[in-house]
Amino acid sequence: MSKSSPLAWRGPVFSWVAILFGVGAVTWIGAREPGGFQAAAAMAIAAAMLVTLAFGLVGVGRNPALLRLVAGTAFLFLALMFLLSFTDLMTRLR
Amino acid sequence: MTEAVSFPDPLREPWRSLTRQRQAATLGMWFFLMSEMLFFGALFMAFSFSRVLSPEAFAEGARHTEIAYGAANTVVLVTSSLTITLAVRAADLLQRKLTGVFLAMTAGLGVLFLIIKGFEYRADLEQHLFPGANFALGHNAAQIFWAFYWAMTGIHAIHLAIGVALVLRLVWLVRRNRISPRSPQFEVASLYWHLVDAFWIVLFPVLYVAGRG
Repeated sequence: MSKSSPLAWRGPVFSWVAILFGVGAVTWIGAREPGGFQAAAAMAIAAAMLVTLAFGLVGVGRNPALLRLVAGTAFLFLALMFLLSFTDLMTRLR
Repeated sequence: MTEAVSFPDPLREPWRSLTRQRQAATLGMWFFLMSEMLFFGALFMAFSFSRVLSPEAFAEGARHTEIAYGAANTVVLVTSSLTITLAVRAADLLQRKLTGVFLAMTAGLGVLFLIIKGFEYRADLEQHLFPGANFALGHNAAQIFWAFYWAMTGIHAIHLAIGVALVLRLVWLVRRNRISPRSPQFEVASLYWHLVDAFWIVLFPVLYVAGRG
């Protein structure tokens, strides 16, 4: 570790620029007239932004396997919670 | 941090190596983040339920949100995620001054977010968009949208304020040479910061965009 080691800034900056494009796209969608795919498109872009954040800035891919497992489990629990709850909601709406 | 400066030993009991200590601290933080994700996930789910039940009222409520403020705040927070990532990388390279600069920028951007949010809240209050007797919109369900708006953005702002305090503490420790750049605190604080950013990345389309359709 010395001053001669350069700061690896390119990867994070590229990820940041990509996320900014996503912010622009979501804002553009929001400023347009309401449409059927508005919500789905905005959420899909947000999901892509989250993935870019997780791998480009947080560096999830560089973490040890155990940490990746914990992070993955968190998303799995979240997905299960949404799935079960919306299944319940759909049955009630009928 | 290559200057001839002595730092306190970052190694703490019961660990025998800094690598293990760092992994344990990061793992502990991930468990905390997991619980936070479930907490915010429940809020998002409750919001989605209510939107399914009252789509027109939610659309009307969402059309009154200030999307320009929301977009500006998203840019600010995403930029702060970049600066805290660079701060951690600078700490890894033992570059004390650069670490301090990036951390200070992160805290500054966090404060800027809260200031913009304050302006947005003021505009919302001037339009009587707070649930209650003087609520501006006709639909009762629109009040539910705005109750979610205030609750979710308020909880997020509290999380961000805590993050700003954590980062400012690190800035102070770095400036005073009271923390080793090898300390896991940089990594742990950055994980928390990224989580707060990630929540906003979801909140922005959910509250400002998706509801309008």
